[in-house]
Amino acid sequence: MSKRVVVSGMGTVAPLGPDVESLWAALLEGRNACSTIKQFDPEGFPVRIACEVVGFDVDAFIDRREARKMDPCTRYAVGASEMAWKDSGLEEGDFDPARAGTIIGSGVGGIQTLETQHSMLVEKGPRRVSPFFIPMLIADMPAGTVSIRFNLKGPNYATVSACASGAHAIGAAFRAVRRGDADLMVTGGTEAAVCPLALSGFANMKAISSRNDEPERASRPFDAERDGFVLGEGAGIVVLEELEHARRRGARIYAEVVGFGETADAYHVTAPAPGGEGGARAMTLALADAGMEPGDVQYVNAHGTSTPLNDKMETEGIKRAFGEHARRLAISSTKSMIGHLLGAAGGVEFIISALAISESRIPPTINYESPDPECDLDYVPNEARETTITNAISNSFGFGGHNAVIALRRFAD
Amino acid sequence: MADVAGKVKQVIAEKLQIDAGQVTMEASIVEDLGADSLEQADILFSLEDEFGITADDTDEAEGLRTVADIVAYLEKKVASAS
Repeated sequence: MSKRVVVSGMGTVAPLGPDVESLWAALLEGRNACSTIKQFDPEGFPVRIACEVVGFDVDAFIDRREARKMDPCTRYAVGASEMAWKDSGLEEGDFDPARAGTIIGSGVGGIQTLETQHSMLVEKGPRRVSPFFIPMLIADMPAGTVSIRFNLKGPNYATVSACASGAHAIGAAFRAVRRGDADLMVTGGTEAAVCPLALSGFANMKAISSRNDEPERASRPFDAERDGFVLGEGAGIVVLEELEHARRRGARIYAEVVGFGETADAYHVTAPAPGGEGGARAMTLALADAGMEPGDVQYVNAHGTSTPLNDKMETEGIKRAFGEHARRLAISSTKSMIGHLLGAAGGVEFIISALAISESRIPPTINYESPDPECDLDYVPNEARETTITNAISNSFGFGGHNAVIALRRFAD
Repeated sequence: MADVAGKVKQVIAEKLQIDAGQVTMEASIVEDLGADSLEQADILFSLEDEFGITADDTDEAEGLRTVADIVAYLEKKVASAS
Protein backbone atom coordinates (compact mmCIF):
# COMPACT_ATOMS: atom_id res chain seq x y z
CA MET A 1 0.00 0.00 0.00
CA SER A 2 1.72 3.21 -1.16
CA LYS A 3 2.12 6.10 1.20
CA ARG A 4 1.60 9.70 0.16
CA VAL A 5 4.70 11.89 0.30
CA VAL A 6 4.69 15.63 1.02
CA VAL A 7 7.24 18.43 1.27
CA SER A 8 7.28 19.77 4.84
CA GLY A 9 10.48 21.83 4.93
CA MET A 10 12.93 23.49 2.58
CA GLY A 11 16.31 25.22 2.78
CA THR A 12 18.72 26.70 0.27
CA VAL A 13 22.27 28.06 0.17
CA ALA A 14 22.34 29.66 -3.25
CA PRO A 15 23.26 32.58 -5.46
CA LEU A 16 20.84 35.53 -5.12
CA GLY A 17 19.94 35.05 -1.45
CA PRO A 18 20.94 33.44 1.86
CA ASP A 19 17.64 31.62 2.39
CA VAL A 20 14.60 30.32 0.53
CA GLU A 21 12.55 33.44 1.12
CA SER A 22 15.11 35.85 -0.32
CA LEU A 23 15.99 33.49 -3.18
CA TRP A 24 12.32 33.13 -4.16
CA ALA A 25 11.70 36.89 -4.00
CA ALA A 26 14.76 37.51 -6.21
CA LEU A 27 13.67 34.88 -8.73
CA LEU A 28 10.24 36.47 -9.07
CA GLU A 29 11.90 39.83 -9.71
CA GLY A 30 13.95 38.25 -12.50
CA ARG A 31 17.27 39.12 -10.84
CA ASN A 32 20.52 37.75 -12.24
CA ALA A 33 23.28 36.24 -10.08
CA CYS A 34 26.06 35.93 -12.65
CA SER A 35 29.13 38.11 -12.24
CA THR A 36 32.93 38.05 -12.30
CA ILE A 37 34.20 35.40 -9.89
CA LYS A 38 35.11 36.71 -6.43
CA GLN A 39 36.17 33.68 -4.39
CA PHE A 40 39.46 33.42 -6.30
CA ASP A 41 41.23 35.58 -8.88
CA PRO A 42 40.00 34.48 -12.34
CA GLU A 43 42.66 36.48 -14.18
CA GLY A 44 44.06 34.44 -17.06
CA PHE A 45 41.18 31.95 -17.16
CA PRO A 46 39.25 31.71 -20.46
CA VAL A 47 35.98 32.01 -18.50
CA ARG A 48 35.92 34.40 -15.55
CA ILE A 49 32.23 34.43 -14.56
CA ALA A 50 29.99 32.35 -12.30
CA CYS A 51 26.95 32.49 -10.03
CA GLU A 52 28.38 32.40 -6.53
CA VAL A 53 26.65 31.76 -3.21
CA VAL A 54 25.79 34.99 -1.35
CA GLY A 55 25.27 35.73 2.29
CA PHE A 56 26.03 32.26 3.63
CA ASP A 57 27.14 32.74 7.23
CA VAL A 58 28.88 29.46 8.09
CA ASP A 59 29.23 30.46 11.75
CA ALA A 60 25.48 30.69 12.10
CA PHE A 61 25.12 26.98 11.38
CA ILE A 62 28.41 25.19 12.12
CA ASP A 63 30.94 25.70 14.90
CA ARG A 64 34.42 26.53 13.66
CA ARG A 65 36.06 23.34 14.80
CA GLU A 66 33.63 21.25 12.75
CA ALA A 67 33.56 23.65 9.79
CA ARG A 68 37.31 23.42 9.22
CA LYS A 69 36.93 19.66 8.74
CA MET A 70 34.27 20.10 6.06
CA ASP A 71 34.65 20.82 2.37
CA PRO A 72 32.45 23.73 1.21
CA CYS A 73 30.05 21.25 -0.41
CA THR A 74 29.38 19.75 3.01
CA ARG A 75 29.06 23.19 4.64
CA TYR A 76 26.47 24.20 2.05
CA ALA A 77 24.55 20.96 2.60
CA VAL A 78 24.60 21.39 6.38
CA GLY A 79 23.48 25.02 6.15
CA ALA A 80 20.61 24.20 3.80
CA SER A 81 19.63 21.16 5.89
CA GLU A 82 19.56 23.21 9.09
CA MET A 83 17.26 25.72 7.41
CA ALA A 84 15.03 22.96 6.01
CA TRP A 85 14.84 21.22 9.38
CA LYS A 86 13.97 24.44 11.18
CA ASP A 87 11.38 25.19 8.50
CA SER A 88 9.79 21.78 9.04
CA GLY A 89 9.38 22.39 12.77
CA LEU A 90 10.55 18.85 13.50
CA GLU A 91 11.85 18.21 16.99
CA GLU A 92 13.41 15.27 18.77
CA GLY A 93 10.57 12.96 19.74
CA ASP A 94 8.51 13.81 16.66
CA PHE A 95 10.02 10.94 14.71
CA ASP A 96 11.59 7.50 15.00
CA PRO A 97 15.28 7.99 14.09
CA ALA A 98 15.49 4.51 12.55
CA ARG A 99 12.79 5.52 10.07
CA ALA A 100 14.33 8.86 9.09
CA GLY A 101 17.06 9.03 6.45
CA THR A 102 19.27 11.28 4.35
CA ILE A 103 20.05 11.06 0.64
CA ILE A 104 22.02 14.01 -0.73
CA GLY A 105 23.45 14.08 -4.23
CA SER A 106 26.63 15.75 -5.42
CA GLY A 107 28.36 15.67 -8.80
CA VAL A 108 31.94 15.76 -7.55
CA GLY A 109 31.89 16.08 -3.76
CA GLY A 110 34.90 17.79 -2.17
CA ILE A 111 36.74 19.05 -5.23
CA GLN A 112 38.04 22.18 -3.49
CA THR A 113 39.63 19.99 -0.82
CA LEU A 114 41.08 17.84 -3.60
CA GLU A 115 42.71 20.88 -5.20
CA THR A 116 44.20 22.11 -1.93
CA GLN A 117 45.46 18.74 -0.76
CA HIS A 118 46.91 17.83 -4.14
CA SER A 119 48.97 20.99 -4.00
CA MET A 120 50.06 20.01 -0.48
CA LEU A 121 51.17 16.60 -1.77
CA VAL A 122 53.15 18.06 -4.65
CA GLU A 123 54.69 20.94 -2.71
CA LYS A 124 55.32 19.35 0.68
CA GLY A 125 55.11 15.60 0.18
CA PRO A 126 52.85 12.74 1.25
CA ARG A 127 53.19 13.31 4.99
CA ARG A 128 51.59 16.73 4.69
CA VAL A 129 48.33 15.55 3.16
CA SER A 130 45.68 16.34 5.74
CA PRO A 131 44.37 13.49 7.92
CA PHE A 132 40.95 14.93 7.08
CA PHE A 133 41.48 14.73 3.32
CA ILE A 134 39.47 11.56 2.73
CA PRO A 135 36.42 12.46 4.84
CA MET A 136 36.41 15.92 3.29
CA LEU A 137 36.71 14.62 -0.26
CA ILE A 138 34.12 11.88 -0.56
CA ALA A 139 30.76 12.79 -2.04
CA ASP A 140 28.72 10.93 0.56
CA MET A 141 29.96 13.07 3.43
CA PRO A 142 27.26 15.73 3.08
CA ALA A 143 24.67 12.99 3.66
CA GLY A 144 26.69 11.43 6.46
CA THR A 145 27.28 14.76 8.21
CA VAL A 146 23.63 15.78 8.02
CA SER A 147 22.52 12.45 9.49
CA ILE A 148 24.80 13.04 12.49
CA ARG A 149 23.34 16.48 13.14
CA PHE A 150 19.72 15.32 13.25
CA ASN A 151 20.17 11.72 14.40
CA LEU A 152 18.81 10.23 11.18
CA LYS A 153 19.44 6.50 11.27
CA GLY A 154 17.48 5.37 8.23
CA PRO A 155 18.58 5.05 4.57
CA ASN A 156 21.69 7.15 3.98
CA TYR A 157 23.89 7.70 0.91
CA ALA A 158 24.72 10.04 -1.97
CA THR A 159 23.43 9.79 -5.51
CA VAL A 160 25.83 10.72 -8.30
CA SER A 161 24.57 11.51 -11.79
CA ALA A 162 26.32 14.76 -12.63
CA CYS A 163 23.75 17.50 -13.16
CA ALA A 164 20.92 15.14 -12.17
CA SER A 165 22.43 14.14 -8.79
CA GLY A 166 20.09 16.28 -6.71
CA ALA A 167 17.00 15.08 -8.60
CA HIS A 168 18.03 11.43 -8.25
CA ALA A 169 18.46 11.95 -4.51
CA ILE A 170 14.95 13.36 -4.18
CA GLY A 171 13.56 10.59 -6.40
CA ALA A 172 15.20 7.88 -4.28
CA ALA A 173 14.04 9.54 -1.05
CA PHE A 174 10.49 9.88 -2.43
CA ARG A 175 10.40 6.17 -3.22
CA ALA A 176 11.73 5.24 0.23
CA VAL A 177 8.88 7.12 1.91
CA ARG A 178 6.27 5.92 -0.57
CA ARG A 179 7.34 2.31 -0.03
CA GLY A 180 7.12 2.73 3.73
CA ASP A 181 10.86 2.28 4.36
CA ALA A 182 11.06 5.70 5.99
CA ASP A 183 8.68 8.25 7.49
CA LEU A 184 10.88 11.18 6.62
CA MET A 185 13.88 11.91 4.44
CA VAL A 186 16.19 14.93 4.39
CA THR A 187 17.18 15.10 0.74
CA GLY A 188 18.45 17.20 -2.16
CA GLY A 189 21.76 18.15 -3.68
CA THR A 190 24.92 20.14 -3.03
CA GLU A 191 27.86 21.37 -5.10
CA ALA A 192 30.85 23.65 -4.51
CA ALA A 193 32.80 23.45 -7.74
CA VAL A 194 33.46 27.11 -8.51
CA CYS A 195 37.19 26.53 -8.29
CA PRO A 196 40.17 26.79 -10.67
CA LEU A 197 40.25 23.12 -11.69
CA ALA A 198 36.57 22.77 -12.47
CA LEU A 199 36.33 26.17 -14.12
CA SER A 200 39.25 25.30 -16.41
CA GLY A 201 37.82 21.90 -17.26
CA PHE A 202 34.38 23.20 -18.13
CA ALA A 203 35.89 26.10 -20.11
CA ASN A 204 38.15 23.85 -22.16
CA MET A 205 35.30 21.55 -23.11
CA LYS A 206 33.42 24.64 -24.29
CA ALA A 207 30.44 23.89 -22.06
CA ILE A 208 30.29 27.27 -20.31
CA SER A 209 29.53 30.73 -21.61
CA SER A 210 32.56 32.95 -22.24
CA ARG A 211 30.54 36.17 -22.11
CA ASN A 212 33.03 37.56 -19.57
CA ASP A 213 32.33 41.22 -20.32
CA GLU A 214 28.56 40.93 -19.95
CA PRO A 215 28.02 38.33 -17.22
CA GLU A 216 24.44 39.45 -16.57
CA ARG A 217 23.52 38.37 -20.11
CA ALA A 218 25.52 35.13 -20.19
CA SER A 219 22.91 32.63 -19.00
CA ARG A 220 20.17 32.78 -21.64
CA PRO A 221 18.34 29.42 -21.91
CA PHE A 222 16.39 28.82 -25.12
CA ASP A 223 17.62 32.13 -26.58
CA ALA A 224 19.18 32.10 -30.07
CA GLU A 225 22.41 33.71 -28.77
CA ARG A 226 23.08 31.17 -25.98
CA ASP A 227 26.68 29.93 -25.79
CA GLY A 228 26.88 27.64 -22.79
CA PHE A 229 25.89 27.48 -19.16
CA VAL A 230 27.13 29.54 -16.24
CA LEU A 231 28.74 27.65 -13.37
CA GLY A 232 26.84 27.96 -10.10
CA GLU A 233 27.18 26.55 -6.56
CA GLY A 234 25.10 25.91 -3.46
CA ALA A 235 22.69 23.41 -1.92
CA GLY A 236 18.95 22.77 -2.00
CA ILE A 237 17.55 20.47 0.70
CA VAL A 238 13.98 19.48 1.52
CA VAL A 239 12.23 17.40 4.14
CA LEU A 240 10.01 14.79 2.49
CA GLU A 241 7.54 13.28 4.89
CA GLU A 242 4.84 10.61 4.88
CA LEU A 243 1.49 12.43 4.85
CA GLU A 244 -0.06 11.05 8.06
CA HIS A 245 3.21 11.57 9.90
CA ALA A 246 3.18 15.20 8.78
CA ARG A 247 -0.49 15.70 9.62
CA ARG A 248 -0.17 14.23 13.13
CA ARG A 249 2.32 16.91 14.08
CA GLY A 250 0.48 19.70 12.27
CA ALA A 251 3.28 20.26 9.74
CA ARG A 252 2.97 22.87 7.03
CA ILE A 253 2.73 21.19 3.63
CA TYR A 254 4.16 22.93 0.56
CA ALA A 255 3.24 20.38 -2.10
CA GLU A 256 2.93 16.67 -2.70
CA VAL A 257 5.50 14.58 -4.57
CA VAL A 258 3.61 12.22 -6.83
CA GLY A 259 5.97 10.72 -9.40
CA PHE A 260 9.53 10.08 -10.45
CA GLY A 261 10.95 8.97 -13.79
CA GLU A 262 14.55 8.03 -14.52
CA THR A 263 16.22 6.93 -17.78
CA ALA A 264 19.54 6.91 -19.60
CA ASP A 265 20.26 8.25 -23.07
CA ALA A 266 22.89 5.57 -23.80
CA TYR A 267 24.11 7.90 -26.50
CA HIS A 268 27.11 10.19 -25.72
CA VAL A 269 29.11 11.29 -22.70
CA THR A 270 28.03 14.91 -22.99
CA ALA A 271 25.62 15.42 -25.89
CA PRO A 272 21.95 14.57 -25.31
CA ALA A 273 20.26 11.92 -27.45
CA PRO A 274 18.67 13.17 -30.69
CA GLY A 275 15.09 14.29 -30.36
CA GLY A 276 15.63 14.53 -26.62
CA GLU A 277 14.28 10.99 -26.50
CA GLY A 278 15.97 10.05 -23.20
CA GLY A 279 14.53 13.07 -21.42
CA ALA A 280 11.15 12.47 -23.07
CA ARG A 281 10.98 8.92 -21.73
CA ALA A 282 11.85 10.15 -18.22
CA MET A 283 9.07 12.75 -18.40
CA THR A 284 6.60 10.13 -19.65
CA LEU A 285 7.59 7.75 -16.85
CA ALA A 286 7.24 10.47 -14.22
CA LEU A 287 3.75 11.33 -15.44
CA ALA A 288 2.71 7.67 -15.54
CA ASP A 289 4.11 7.15 -12.04
CA ALA A 290 2.05 10.12 -10.88
CA GLY A 291 -1.10 8.96 -12.63
CA MET A 292 -1.05 12.18 -14.67
CA GLU A 293 -1.98 12.76 -18.29
CA PRO A 294 0.25 15.18 -20.24
CA GLY A 295 -2.73 17.54 -20.39
CA ASP A 296 -2.86 17.73 -16.58
CA VAL A 297 0.48 19.56 -16.30
CA GLN A 298 0.72 23.36 -16.24
CA TYR A 299 4.39 24.02 -15.43
CA VAL A 300 7.75 22.53 -16.38
CA ASN A 301 10.84 23.72 -14.50
CA ALA A 302 13.24 22.92 -17.34
CA HIS A 303 16.80 21.70 -17.10
CA GLY A 304 17.38 24.63 -19.47
CA THR A 305 21.15 25.02 -19.12
CA SER A 306 21.63 27.62 -21.89
CA THR A 307 23.77 25.28 -23.99
CA PRO A 308 22.97 25.08 -27.71
CA LEU A 309 22.32 21.35 -27.50
CA ASN A 310 20.41 20.87 -24.23
CA ASP A 311 17.84 23.57 -24.84
CA LYS A 312 17.09 22.32 -28.34
CA MET A 313 16.90 18.65 -27.29
CA GLU A 314 14.89 19.40 -24.20
CA THR A 315 12.38 21.31 -26.32
CA GLU A 316 12.09 18.36 -28.68
CA GLY A 317 11.79 15.99 -25.74
CA ILE A 318 8.99 18.04 -24.18
CA LYS A 319 7.11 17.95 -27.49
CA ARG A 320 7.64 14.20 -27.70
CA ALA A 321 6.35 13.62 -24.16
CA PHE A 322 3.47 16.11 -24.18
CA GLY A 323 2.37 16.15 -27.84
CA GLU A 324 0.06 19.03 -28.66
CA HIS A 325 -0.16 20.03 -24.98
CA ALA A 326 3.51 21.11 -25.16
CA ARG A 327 2.32 24.40 -26.67
CA ARG A 328 0.07 25.08 -23.66
CA LEU A 329 2.77 24.42 -21.04
CA ALA A 330 4.51 27.20 -19.15
CA ILE A 331 8.19 26.26 -19.18
CA SER A 332 10.89 28.22 -17.40
CA SER A 333 14.57 27.80 -16.70
CA THR A 334 15.66 29.32 -13.41
CA LYS A 335 19.25 28.60 -14.49
CA SER A 336 18.80 31.85 -16.40
CA MET A 337 19.07 33.60 -13.02
CA ILE A 338 21.14 31.43 -10.68
CA GLY A 339 23.21 29.48 -13.21
CA HIS A 340 23.82 25.74 -13.21
CA LEU A 341 24.28 24.39 -9.69
CA LEU A 342 25.35 20.99 -11.08
CA GLY A 343 24.64 18.37 -8.42
CA ALA A 344 22.65 20.90 -6.39
CA ALA A 345 20.48 21.99 -9.34
CA GLY A 346 17.95 19.18 -8.91
CA GLY A 347 17.51 20.11 -5.24
CA VAL A 348 17.15 23.86 -5.64
CA GLU A 349 14.93 23.53 -8.72
CA PHE A 350 12.64 21.06 -6.92
CA ILE A 351 12.20 23.68 -4.21
CA ILE A 352 11.43 26.32 -6.84
CA SER A 353 8.85 23.99 -8.42
CA ALA A 354 7.19 23.33 -5.05
CA LEU A 355 7.02 27.06 -4.37
CA ALA A 356 5.59 27.75 -7.83
CA ILE A 357 2.75 25.40 -6.92
CA SER A 358 2.16 26.66 -3.39
CA GLU A 359 2.47 30.35 -4.34
CA SER A 360 0.83 30.20 -7.79
CA ARG A 361 3.72 32.14 -9.32
CA ILE A 362 6.10 31.04 -12.06
CA PRO A 363 9.62 32.51 -12.09
CA PRO A 364 10.70 33.62 -15.58
CA THR A 365 13.38 32.65 -18.03
CA ILE A 366 15.35 35.89 -18.17
CA ASN A 367 17.67 37.13 -20.95
CA TYR A 368 15.14 35.89 -23.47
CA GLU A 369 15.75 38.37 -26.29
CA SER A 370 16.06 36.60 -29.62
CA PRO A 371 13.75 33.60 -30.16
CA ASP A 372 15.32 30.52 -31.67
CA PRO A 373 13.09 28.82 -34.25
CA GLU A 374 14.18 25.47 -32.87
CA CYS A 375 12.99 26.46 -29.37
CA ASP A 376 9.48 27.67 -29.99
CA LEU A 377 7.53 26.92 -26.82
CA ASP A 378 6.34 29.24 -24.04
CA TYR A 379 9.36 29.83 -21.78
CA VAL A 380 7.72 32.49 -19.57
CA PRO A 381 10.08 35.12 -20.97
CA ASN A 382 11.59 37.76 -18.71
CA GLU A 383 8.69 38.32 -16.33
CA ALA A 384 7.21 36.15 -13.61
CA ARG A 385 3.67 34.99 -14.15
CA GLU A 386 0.79 34.57 -11.72
CA THR A 387 -1.21 31.46 -12.44
CA THR A 388 -2.66 28.51 -10.58
CA ILE A 389 -0.55 25.40 -10.92
CA THR A 390 -1.95 22.04 -9.97
CA ASN A 391 0.70 19.80 -11.53
CA ALA A 392 4.34 20.50 -12.34
CA ILE A 393 7.47 18.60 -13.30
CA SER A 394 11.14 19.37 -12.66
CA ASN A 395 13.67 18.16 -15.24
CA SER A 396 17.33 17.37 -14.63
CA PHE A 397 19.63 15.85 -17.24
CA GLY A 398 23.29 15.01 -16.56
CA PHE A 399 26.52 14.51 -18.55
CA GLY A 400 26.65 10.80 -19.16
CA GLY A 401 23.04 10.74 -20.34
CA HIS A 402 21.27 10.59 -16.97
CA ASN A 403 17.68 11.86 -16.97
CA ALA A 404 15.65 12.40 -13.80
CA VAL A 405 12.19 13.96 -13.70
CA ILE A 406 10.10 14.61 -10.58
CA ALA A 407 6.35 15.24 -10.68
CA LEU A 408 4.74 17.44 -8.04
CA ARG A 409 1.11 18.28 -7.30
CA ARG A 410 -0.70 20.95 -5.34
CA PHE A 411 -1.61 19.36 -2.01
CA ALA A 412 -5.26 18.51 -1.45
CA ASP A 413 -6.69 16.17 1.13
CA MET B 1 65.69 27.50 21.48
CA ALA B 2 62.17 28.22 20.35
CA ASP B 3 59.41 28.24 22.95
CA VAL B 4 58.15 24.76 22.20
CA ALA B 5 55.54 24.65 24.95
CA GLY B 6 54.03 27.98 23.94
CA LYS B 7 53.77 26.95 20.29
CA VAL B 8 52.26 23.57 21.15
CA LYS B 9 49.54 25.20 23.24
CA GLN B 10 48.82 27.73 20.53
CA VAL B 11 48.47 25.11 17.78
CA ILE B 12 46.27 22.83 19.89
CA ALA B 13 44.03 25.72 20.89
CA GLU B 14 43.66 26.77 17.26
CA LYS B 15 42.99 23.30 15.88
CA LEU B 16 40.42 22.42 18.55
CA GLN B 17 38.98 25.94 18.65
CA ILE B 18 39.28 26.10 22.43
CA ASP B 19 40.54 28.73 24.82
CA ALA B 20 44.36 28.66 25.14
CA GLY B 21 43.92 28.70 28.92
CA GLN B 22 42.39 25.21 28.78
CA VAL B 23 45.53 23.77 27.21
CA THR B 24 47.50 23.00 30.37
CA MET B 25 50.60 20.79 30.42
CA GLU B 26 48.76 18.03 32.29
CA ALA B 27 45.76 18.03 29.92
CA SER B 28 45.23 14.84 27.97
CA ILE B 29 44.60 15.59 24.30
CA VAL B 30 41.84 13.01 23.95
CA GLU B 31 40.24 12.71 27.39
CA ASP B 32 40.48 16.31 28.58
CA LEU B 33 40.53 18.34 25.37
CA GLY B 34 38.25 16.05 23.37
CA ALA B 35 40.34 15.54 20.23
CA ASP B 36 39.50 12.58 18.03
CA SER B 37 42.17 10.46 16.32
CA LEU B 38 42.18 12.54 13.13
CA GLU B 39 42.53 15.77 15.08
CA GLN B 40 45.44 14.27 17.02
CA ALA B 41 47.27 13.39 13.82
CA ASP B 42 46.48 16.82 12.39
CA ILE B 43 47.89 18.56 15.48
CA LEU B 44 51.08 16.54 15.36
CA PHE B 45 51.61 17.12 11.64
CA SER B 46 51.16 20.87 12.06
CA LEU B 47 53.62 20.95 14.93
CA GLU B 48 56.18 18.97 12.94
CA ASP B 49 55.69 21.52 10.16
CA GLU B 50 56.17 24.42 12.56
CA PHE B 51 59.46 23.04 13.88
CA GLY B 52 60.68 21.68 10.55
CA ILE B 53 61.00 18.09 11.70
CA THR B 54 59.59 14.79 10.54
CA ALA B 55 58.49 11.89 12.71
CA ASP B 56 59.54 8.63 11.11
CA ASP B 57 58.84 6.63 14.25
CA THR B 58 55.06 6.57 14.34
CA ASP B 59 55.10 4.23 17.34
CA GLU B 60 56.55 6.94 19.52
CA ALA B 61 54.09 9.53 18.21
CA GLU B 62 51.16 7.26 18.98
CA GLY B 63 52.13 7.04 22.66
CA LEU B 64 51.75 10.80 23.25
CA ARG B 65 48.88 11.44 25.67
CA THR B 66 49.27 14.83 27.33
CA VAL B 67 50.38 18.28 26.22
CA ALA B 68 53.55 17.72 28.29
CA ASP B 69 54.22 14.47 26.37
CA ILE B 70 54.01 16.33 23.07
CA VAL B 71 56.26 19.15 24.28
CA ALA B 72 58.90 16.65 25.48
CA TYR B 73 58.73 14.72 22.20
CA LEU B 74 59.19 17.85 20.10
CA GLU B 75 61.97 19.28 22.29
CA LYS B 76 63.90 16.04 21.86
CA LYS B 77 63.40 16.10 18.09
CA VAL B 78 64.38 19.74 17.76
CA ALA B 79 67.51 19.15 19.86
CA SER B 80 68.67 16.15 17.82
CA ALA B 81 67.97 17.97 14.54
CA SER B 82 70.16 20.96 15.42
